[in-house]
Amino acid sequence: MRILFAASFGGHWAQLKRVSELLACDERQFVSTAESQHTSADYYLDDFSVREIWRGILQLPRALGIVRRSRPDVIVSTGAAPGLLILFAGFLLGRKTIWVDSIANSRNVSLSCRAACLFATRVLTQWPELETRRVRYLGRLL
Amino acid sequence: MNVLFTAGTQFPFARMARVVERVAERCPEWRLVFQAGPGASDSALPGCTTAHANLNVAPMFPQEEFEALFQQAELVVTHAGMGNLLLCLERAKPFFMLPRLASLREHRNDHQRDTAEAISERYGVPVFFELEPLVEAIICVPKEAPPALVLREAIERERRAFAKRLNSLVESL
Repeated sequence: MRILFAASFGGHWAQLKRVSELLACDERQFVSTAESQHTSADYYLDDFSVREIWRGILQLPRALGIVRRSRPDVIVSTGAAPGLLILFAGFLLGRKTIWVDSIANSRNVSLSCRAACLFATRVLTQWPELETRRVRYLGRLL
Repeated sequence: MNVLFTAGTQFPFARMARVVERVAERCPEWRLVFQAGPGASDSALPGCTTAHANLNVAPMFPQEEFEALFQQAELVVTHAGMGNLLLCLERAKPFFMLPRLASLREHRNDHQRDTAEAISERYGVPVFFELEPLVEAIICVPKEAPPALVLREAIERERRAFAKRLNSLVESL
């Protein structure tokens, strides 16, 4: 099993690393942002917000390239928009995708989470109160 | 007393700088460290940098140095960013939260307020929305760490349960 993990640098990245430790797999690869600030990922995207979606669309070819090169069985993202873009690229290439919404979204799921509902294989929240038929609760990091 | 203040990396957080200033003024003998954020300038930096001999301010400390400063800190005062909250809770570091607020243009939305309130409720970590009560709490802080073992066990229990269900989800896809 090969899993590609994607998240923007900062709190989303901190959660992604911890989620990756929970999952049993043969090979882990990582996509992040802020290449100038850390070297712990295998691939990088430029950071953007889900509200400036055009900046994401411009990076779609890069995201597709990352998914093609890493050939994952499953893609997991903890957010935010750059993670969503990798999931979308994975969806276009027929990969299984899982969105884990940040534990920071305790009252409402994020806008990116709602977008992920449109195409991701599974969508998870870390707050049982926010569970719906589409957005499932399987547990939390804290 | 050794206190680490961290403002996060995304937007300026001037209120945290004000807290640092006030604590520095009232506790000149304390060792204070402030990571103000990569874009911090003017009002997002404390105005008393030169006046206080034991105040160490940087926009962003290199990872290793931050790690050492975090270890040494007896108390952490942080914005409600998930990275820092995870670190403080996992290491059972005593900490206070000052969430960034959208109304003051400290963040895009108010998720930090929600996070801080949720974490405060679950783990009993004090959260502050006003500066004066936070400054008072820092100055009067009881030097008592949260029960590390209980906290760590609670977090590990959550993660074991999460891991089990996550793995069966992945296998079922």
